[in-house]
Amino acid sequence: MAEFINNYLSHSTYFAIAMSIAFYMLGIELKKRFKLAIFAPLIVASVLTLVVIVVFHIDMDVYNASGNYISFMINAATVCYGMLLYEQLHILKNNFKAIMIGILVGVFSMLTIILIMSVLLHIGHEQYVSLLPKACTTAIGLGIAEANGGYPSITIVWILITGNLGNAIAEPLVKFFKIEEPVARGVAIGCSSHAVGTAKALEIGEIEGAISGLSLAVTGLITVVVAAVYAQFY
Amino acid sequence: MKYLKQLLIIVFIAYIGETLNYFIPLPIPGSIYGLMIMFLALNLGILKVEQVSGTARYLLEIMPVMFIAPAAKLVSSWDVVKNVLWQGTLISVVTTVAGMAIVGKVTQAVIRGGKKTAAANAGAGEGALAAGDPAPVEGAEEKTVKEVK
Repeated sequence: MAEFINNYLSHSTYFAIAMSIAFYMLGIELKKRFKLAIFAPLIVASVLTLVVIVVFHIDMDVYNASGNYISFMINAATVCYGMLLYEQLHILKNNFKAIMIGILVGVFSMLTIILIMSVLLHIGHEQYVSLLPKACTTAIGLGIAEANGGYPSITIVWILITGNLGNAIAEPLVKFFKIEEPVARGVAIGCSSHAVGTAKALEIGEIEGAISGLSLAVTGLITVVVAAVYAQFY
Repeated sequence: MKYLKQLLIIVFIAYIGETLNYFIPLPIPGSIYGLMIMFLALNLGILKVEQVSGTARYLLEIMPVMFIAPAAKLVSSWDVVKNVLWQGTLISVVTTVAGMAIVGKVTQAVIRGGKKTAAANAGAGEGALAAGDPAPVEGAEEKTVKEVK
Protein backbone atom coordinates (compact mmCIF):
# COMPACT_ATOMS: atom_id res chain seq x y z
CA MET A 1 0.00 0.00 0.00
CA ALA A 2 2.70 2.48 1.07
CA GLU A 3 4.68 1.57 -2.00
CA PHE A 4 1.70 2.25 -4.24
CA ILE A 5 1.01 5.61 -2.57
CA ASN A 6 4.63 6.73 -2.86
CA ASN A 7 4.87 5.61 -6.45
CA TYR A 8 1.61 7.35 -7.27
CA LEU A 9 2.52 10.59 -5.45
CA SER A 10 6.00 10.71 -6.97
CA HIS A 11 4.20 11.35 -10.27
CA SER A 12 2.41 14.37 -8.83
CA THR A 13 3.93 17.85 -8.55
CA TYR A 14 0.88 19.46 -7.03
CA PHE A 15 -0.29 17.19 -4.22
CA ALA A 16 1.78 18.85 -1.47
CA ILE A 17 0.92 22.31 -2.77
CA ALA A 18 -2.82 21.58 -2.84
CA MET A 19 -2.63 19.85 0.53
CA SER A 20 -0.73 22.77 2.12
CA ILE A 21 -3.17 25.42 0.91
CA ALA A 22 -6.23 23.30 1.82
CA PHE A 23 -4.90 22.54 5.32
CA TYR A 24 -3.94 26.18 5.85
CA MET A 25 -7.43 27.36 4.88
CA LEU A 26 -8.93 24.68 7.11
CA GLY A 27 -6.76 26.12 9.89
CA ILE A 28 -8.16 29.60 9.21
CA GLU A 29 -11.72 28.19 9.43
CA LEU A 30 -10.96 26.38 12.72
CA LYS A 31 -9.43 29.56 14.14
CA LYS A 32 -12.56 31.52 13.21
CA ARG A 33 -14.87 28.96 14.74
CA PHE A 34 -13.02 28.16 17.98
CA LYS A 35 -10.92 31.30 18.56
CA LEU A 36 -8.17 29.30 20.32
CA ALA A 37 -4.48 30.16 19.95
CA ILE A 38 -3.64 26.47 19.40
CA PHE A 39 -5.65 26.60 16.15
CA ALA A 40 -3.09 28.89 14.53
CA PRO A 41 -3.50 28.04 10.82
CA LEU A 42 0.20 27.28 10.41
CA ILE A 43 0.28 24.86 13.34
CA VAL A 44 -2.92 23.14 12.18
CA ALA A 45 -1.57 22.80 8.64
CA SER A 46 1.89 21.60 9.79
CA VAL A 47 0.45 19.01 12.20
CA LEU A 48 -2.06 17.71 9.63
CA THR A 49 0.74 17.47 7.06
CA LEU A 50 2.92 15.52 9.52
CA VAL A 51 -0.03 13.21 10.29
CA VAL A 52 -0.63 12.53 6.59
CA ILE A 53 3.10 11.84 6.01
CA VAL A 54 3.33 9.45 8.97
CA VAL A 55 -0.04 7.68 8.50
CA PHE A 56 0.40 7.07 4.78
CA HIS A 57 4.15 6.34 5.13
CA ILE A 58 4.92 8.99 2.55
CA ASP A 59 8.62 9.08 1.73
CA MET A 60 10.17 12.49 2.58
CA ASP A 61 11.88 12.62 -0.81
CA VAL A 62 8.51 12.16 -2.48
CA TYR A 63 6.93 14.82 -0.26
CA ASN A 64 9.80 17.29 -0.69
CA ALA A 65 9.76 16.89 -4.47
CA SER A 66 6.36 18.58 -4.38
CA GLY A 67 6.69 20.57 -1.13
CA ASN A 68 9.82 22.36 -2.27
CA TYR A 69 7.78 24.01 -5.02
CA ILE A 70 5.90 25.99 -2.40
CA SER A 71 8.81 26.91 -0.17
CA PHE A 72 11.16 27.92 -3.00
CA MET A 73 9.41 31.32 -3.10
CA ILE A 74 10.24 32.08 0.56
CA ASN A 75 13.29 34.13 -0.43
CA ALA A 76 11.36 36.13 -3.03
CA ALA A 77 8.58 36.79 -0.51
CA THR A 78 11.15 37.86 2.12
CA VAL A 79 12.54 40.34 -0.43
CA CYS A 80 9.04 41.85 -0.64
CA TYR A 81 9.26 42.90 3.00
CA GLY A 82 11.63 45.54 1.63
CA MET A 83 8.64 47.11 -0.11
CA LEU A 84 6.48 47.08 3.03
CA LEU A 85 9.38 48.64 4.88
CA TYR A 86 9.71 51.41 2.29
CA GLU A 87 5.99 52.16 2.53
CA GLN A 88 6.36 52.55 6.31
CA LEU A 89 9.60 54.53 6.08
CA HIS A 90 8.33 57.54 8.02
CA ILE A 91 7.44 55.24 10.94
CA LEU A 92 10.91 53.73 10.85
CA LYS A 93 12.55 57.17 10.84
CA ASN A 94 10.44 58.45 13.72
CA ASN A 95 11.05 55.36 15.85
CA PHE A 96 14.60 54.43 14.88
CA LYS A 97 15.97 54.67 18.43
CA ALA A 98 13.11 52.68 19.97
CA ILE A 99 13.37 49.90 17.38
CA MET A 100 17.14 49.54 17.77
CA ILE A 101 17.04 49.59 21.58
CA GLY A 102 14.16 47.09 21.58
CA ILE A 103 15.99 44.65 19.30
CA LEU A 104 19.34 44.92 21.12
CA VAL A 105 17.72 44.36 24.52
CA GLY A 106 15.72 41.51 23.00
CA VAL A 107 18.67 39.67 21.42
CA PHE A 108 20.77 39.94 24.58
CA SER A 109 17.96 38.85 26.90
CA MET A 110 16.92 35.91 24.69
CA LEU A 111 20.48 34.62 24.34
CA THR A 112 21.06 35.08 28.08
CA ILE A 113 17.95 33.02 28.88
CA ILE A 114 19.16 30.31 26.47
CA LEU A 115 22.59 30.34 28.16
CA ILE A 116 21.21 30.10 31.71
CA MET A 117 18.65 27.40 30.87
CA SER A 118 21.18 25.36 28.85
CA VAL A 119 23.55 25.34 31.84
CA LEU A 120 20.74 24.42 34.27
CA LEU A 121 19.39 21.64 32.02
CA HIS A 122 22.90 20.27 31.30
CA ILE A 123 22.54 20.15 27.54
CA GLY A 124 25.89 19.94 25.76
CA HIS A 125 27.80 22.72 24.01
CA GLU A 126 26.71 21.65 20.52
CA GLN A 127 23.06 21.57 21.60
CA TYR A 128 23.43 24.98 23.26
CA VAL A 129 24.98 26.50 20.15
CA SER A 130 22.21 24.96 18.03
CA LEU A 131 19.66 26.80 20.19
CA LEU A 132 21.30 30.25 20.02
CA PRO A 133 19.91 31.30 16.61
CA LYS A 134 16.40 29.94 17.29
CA ALA A 135 14.79 33.39 16.99
CA CYS A 136 16.39 34.04 13.58
CA THR A 137 14.79 33.40 10.23
CA THR A 138 15.59 29.87 8.97
CA ALA A 139 18.20 30.76 6.37
CA ILE A 140 20.25 33.00 8.67
CA GLY A 141 19.77 30.74 11.73
CA LEU A 142 21.18 27.70 9.95
CA GLY A 143 24.23 29.73 8.93
CA ILE A 144 24.82 30.85 12.52
CA ALA A 145 24.49 27.30 13.91
CA GLU A 146 26.93 25.97 11.37
CA ALA A 147 29.43 28.81 11.83
CA ASN A 148 29.58 28.15 15.60
CA GLY A 149 29.75 24.35 15.48
CA GLY A 150 26.09 23.47 16.14
CA TYR A 151 23.74 21.10 14.29
CA PRO A 152 21.68 22.94 11.63
CA SER A 153 19.19 20.03 11.44
CA ILE A 154 18.33 20.57 15.13
CA THR A 155 18.38 24.36 14.86
CA ILE A 156 15.64 24.22 12.22
CA VAL A 157 13.34 22.42 14.69
CA TRP A 158 13.76 25.14 17.36
CA ILE A 159 13.33 27.82 14.72
CA LEU A 160 10.07 26.20 13.62
CA ILE A 161 8.77 25.77 17.18
CA THR A 162 9.69 29.40 17.92
CA GLY A 163 8.10 30.75 14.74
CA ASN A 164 4.91 28.73 14.99
CA LEU A 165 4.54 29.48 18.68
CA GLY A 166 5.19 33.17 18.06
CA ASN A 167 2.64 33.12 15.24
CA ALA A 168 0.08 31.50 17.55
CA ILE A 169 0.60 33.62 20.68
CA ALA A 170 1.42 37.03 19.13
CA GLU A 171 -2.13 38.38 19.19
CA PRO A 172 -3.10 37.33 22.76
CA LEU A 173 0.39 38.14 24.10
CA VAL A 174 0.54 41.74 22.90
CA LYS A 175 -2.95 42.24 24.33
CA PHE A 176 -2.06 40.62 27.65
CA PHE A 177 1.09 42.72 28.09
CA LYS A 178 -0.73 45.84 26.88
CA ILE A 179 1.70 46.37 24.00
CA GLU A 180 -0.47 48.81 22.08
CA GLU A 181 1.92 50.76 19.85
CA PRO A 182 1.87 49.16 16.37
CA VAL A 183 5.64 49.71 16.08
CA ALA A 184 6.33 48.02 19.43
CA ARG A 185 4.12 45.09 18.38
CA GLY A 186 6.01 44.72 15.11
CA VAL A 187 9.42 44.78 16.79
CA ALA A 188 8.28 42.32 19.48
CA ILE A 189 6.93 39.80 16.96
CA GLY A 190 9.71 40.08 14.37
CA CYS A 191 12.53 39.99 16.92
CA SER A 192 11.19 36.99 18.84
CA SER A 193 9.64 34.84 16.11
CA HIS A 194 11.18 35.79 12.73
CA ALA A 195 9.35 35.36 9.40
CA VAL A 196 6.67 32.95 10.64
CA GLY A 197 5.69 35.38 13.39
CA THR A 198 5.88 38.21 10.85
CA ALA A 199 3.16 36.51 8.80
CA LYS A 200 0.90 37.02 11.82
CA ALA A 201 2.15 40.59 12.33
CA LEU A 202 1.09 41.29 8.75
CA GLU A 203 -2.42 40.01 9.56
CA ILE A 204 -2.60 42.30 12.59
CA GLY A 205 -1.70 45.37 10.52
CA GLU A 206 0.49 46.81 7.76
CA ILE A 207 2.67 48.80 10.18
CA GLU A 208 3.11 45.75 12.41
CA GLY A 209 4.01 43.61 9.38
CA ALA A 210 6.52 46.05 7.92
CA ILE A 211 8.27 46.73 11.22
CA SER A 212 8.26 43.01 12.02
CA GLY A 213 9.91 42.31 8.65
CA LEU A 214 12.54 44.95 9.36
CA SER A 215 13.07 43.62 12.88
CA LEU A 216 13.62 40.05 11.74
CA ALA A 217 16.33 41.25 9.36
CA VAL A 218 18.05 43.41 11.98
CA THR A 219 17.68 40.69 14.63
CA GLY A 220 19.33 38.19 12.30
CA LEU A 221 22.24 40.53 11.59
CA ILE A 222 22.80 41.36 15.27
CA THR A 223 22.51 37.69 16.27
CA VAL A 224 25.30 36.78 13.82
CA VAL A 225 27.68 38.84 15.98
CA VAL A 226 26.20 38.26 19.45
CA ALA A 227 25.79 34.48 19.02
CA ALA A 228 29.48 34.18 18.08
CA VAL A 229 30.32 35.77 21.46
CA TYR A 230 27.77 33.72 23.44
CA ALA A 231 29.05 30.50 21.85
CA GLN A 232 32.26 31.00 23.90
CA PHE A 233 30.39 31.12 27.25
CA TYR A 234 29.31 27.47 27.60
CA MET B 1 3.10 41.69 -18.94
CA LYS B 2 2.54 43.69 -15.77
CA TYR B 3 2.79 40.72 -13.38
CA LEU B 4 5.59 39.16 -15.39
CA LYS B 5 7.68 42.34 -15.06
CA GLN B 6 6.94 42.57 -11.35
CA LEU B 7 7.92 38.96 -10.83
CA LEU B 8 11.12 39.47 -12.80
CA ILE B 9 12.14 42.43 -10.62
CA ILE B 10 11.44 40.55 -7.37
CA VAL B 11 13.14 37.35 -8.48
CA PHE B 12 16.09 39.27 -9.92
CA ILE B 13 16.63 41.06 -6.59
CA ALA B 14 16.44 37.68 -4.80
CA TYR B 15 19.07 36.44 -7.25
CA ILE B 16 21.40 39.39 -6.58
CA GLY B 17 20.95 38.65 -2.86
CA GLU B 18 22.06 35.05 -3.42
CA THR B 19 25.06 36.27 -5.39
CA LEU B 20 26.10 38.62 -2.56
CA ASN B 21 25.71 35.73 -0.12
CA TYR B 22 28.11 33.70 -2.24
CA PHE B 23 30.79 36.39 -2.49
CA ILE B 24 30.58 37.97 0.98
CA PRO B 25 31.95 35.59 3.65
CA LEU B 26 29.30 36.31 6.31
CA PRO B 27 26.48 34.01 7.49
CA ILE B 28 23.88 36.45 6.13
CA PRO B 29 21.35 34.76 3.84
CA GLY B 30 20.60 36.03 0.35
CA SER B 31 17.02 36.90 1.24
CA ILE B 32 18.20 39.47 3.83
CA TYR B 33 20.50 41.11 1.27
CA GLY B 34 17.52 41.05 -1.11
CA LEU B 35 15.26 42.71 1.44
CA MET B 36 17.83 45.49 1.88
CA ILE B 37 18.31 45.88 -1.90
CA MET B 38 14.54 46.19 -2.43
CA PHE B 39 14.34 48.77 0.35
CA LEU B 40 17.29 50.78 -0.98
CA ALA B 41 16.14 50.63 -4.62
CA LEU B 42 12.75 52.06 -3.65
CA ASN B 43 14.35 54.72 -1.46
CA LEU B 44 16.79 55.81 -4.14
CA GLY B 45 14.02 55.97 -6.73
CA ILE B 46 15.55 53.23 -8.89
CA LEU B 47 12.27 51.35 -8.43
CA LYS B 48 8.72 52.59 -7.95
CA VAL B 49 6.27 50.79 -5.66
CA GLU B 50 3.85 50.26 -8.60
CA GLN B 51 6.55 48.26 -10.36
CA VAL B 52 6.43 45.50 -7.74
CA SER B 53 3.36 45.97 -5.53
CA GLY B 54 0.80 43.57 -7.09
CA THR B 55 3.06 40.53 -7.17
CA ALA B 56 4.72 41.51 -3.89
CA ARG B 57 1.39 41.60 -2.07
CA TYR B 58 0.39 38.25 -3.59
CA LEU B 59 3.65 36.66 -2.40
CA LEU B 60 3.29 38.18 1.07
CA GLU B 61 -0.26 36.86 1.38
CA ILE B 62 0.61 33.28 0.46
CA MET B 63 3.87 33.33 2.43
CA PRO B 64 2.62 31.46 5.55
CA VAL B 65 1.77 28.44 3.38
CA MET B 66 5.42 28.32 2.25
CA PHE B 67 6.50 27.39 5.80
CA ILE B 68 4.48 24.17 5.91
CA ALA B 69 6.91 22.13 3.79
CA PRO B 70 9.98 23.08 5.93
CA ALA B 71 7.97 22.16 9.05
CA ALA B 72 7.28 18.73 7.57
CA LYS B 73 11.06 18.12 7.48
CA LEU B 74 10.75 17.45 11.22
CA VAL B 75 10.02 13.84 10.19
CA SER B 76 13.57 13.44 8.84
CA SER B 77 15.41 15.08 11.78
CA TRP B 78 13.32 13.34 14.46
CA ASP B 79 16.04 10.84 15.49
CA VAL B 80 18.52 13.61 16.37
CA VAL B 81 15.96 15.88 17.97
CA LYS B 82 14.25 13.43 20.34
CA ASN B 83 17.26 13.31 22.75
CA VAL B 84 16.91 16.98 23.65
CA LEU B 85 13.26 17.40 22.75
CA TRP B 86 11.81 18.56 26.07
CA GLN B 87 14.80 20.74 27.03
CA GLY B 88 14.92 22.44 23.65
CA THR B 89 11.16 22.88 23.51
CA LEU B 90 11.10 24.35 27.02
CA ILE B 91 13.93 26.78 26.21
CA SER B 92 12.28 27.73 22.91
CA VAL B 93 8.92 28.39 24.54
CA VAL B 94 10.36 30.42 27.45
CA THR B 95 12.59 32.58 25.23
CA THR B 96 9.83 33.21 22.68
CA VAL B 97 7.29 34.32 25.28
CA ALA B 98 9.79 36.28 27.41
CA GLY B 99 11.51 37.72 24.33
CA MET B 100 8.30 38.95 22.75
CA ALA B 101 7.10 40.52 26.00
CA ILE B 102 10.45 42.15 26.86
CA VAL B 103 11.03 43.54 23.35
CA GLY B 104 7.47 44.86 23.13
CA LYS B 105 7.57 46.49 26.55
CA VAL B 106 11.03 48.05 26.06
CA THR B 107 10.22 49.37 22.58
CA GLN B 108 6.90 50.77 23.75
CA ALA B 109 8.56 52.43 26.77
CA VAL B 110 11.14 54.14 24.52
CA ILE B 111 8.45 55.26 22.04
CA ARG B 112 6.22 56.65 24.78
CA GLY B 113 9.18 58.19 26.61
CA GLY B 114 10.10 59.98 23.37
CA LYS B 115 6.54 61.21 22.91
CA LYS B 116 6.42 62.64 26.41
CA THR B 117 9.73 64.44 25.90
CA ALA B 118 8.55 65.80 22.54
CA ALA B 119 5.36 67.06 24.13
CA ALA B 120 7.22 68.60 27.05
CA ASN B 121 9.76 70.30 24.78
CA ALA B 122 7.03 71.79 22.64
CA GLY B 123 5.27 73.13 25.73
CA ALA B 124 1.53 72.78 26.21
CA GLY B 125 0.76 74.26 22.78
CA GLU B 126 -2.02 72.56 20.86
CA GLY B 127 -0.93 70.42 17.94
CA ALA B 128 2.62 70.27 19.25
CA LEU B 129 2.64 66.52 18.89
CA ALA B 130 1.19 66.66 15.40
CA ALA B 131 3.84 69.11 14.23
CA GLY B 132 6.81 67.49 15.94
CA ASP B 133 6.04 63.84 15.48
CA PRO B 134 3.60 62.61 12.84
CA ALA B 135 3.79 58.94 13.88
CA PRO B 136 1.65 58.98 17.04
CA VAL B 137 -1.07 60.97 15.30
CA GLU B 138 -1.28 58.35 12.58
CA GLY B 139 -1.29 55.62 15.19
CA ALA B 140 -4.14 57.32 17.00
CA GLU B 141 -6.12 57.71 13.79
CA GLU B 142 -5.62 54.07 12.98
CA LYS B 143 -6.87 53.01 16.40
CA THR B 144 -10.05 55.05 15.92
CA VAL B 145 -10.61 53.49 12.52
CA LYS B 146 -10.17 50.01 14.00
CA GLU B 147 -12.59 50.78 16.84
CA VAL B 148 -15.20 52.06 14.41
CA LYS B 149 -14.87 48.87 12.37
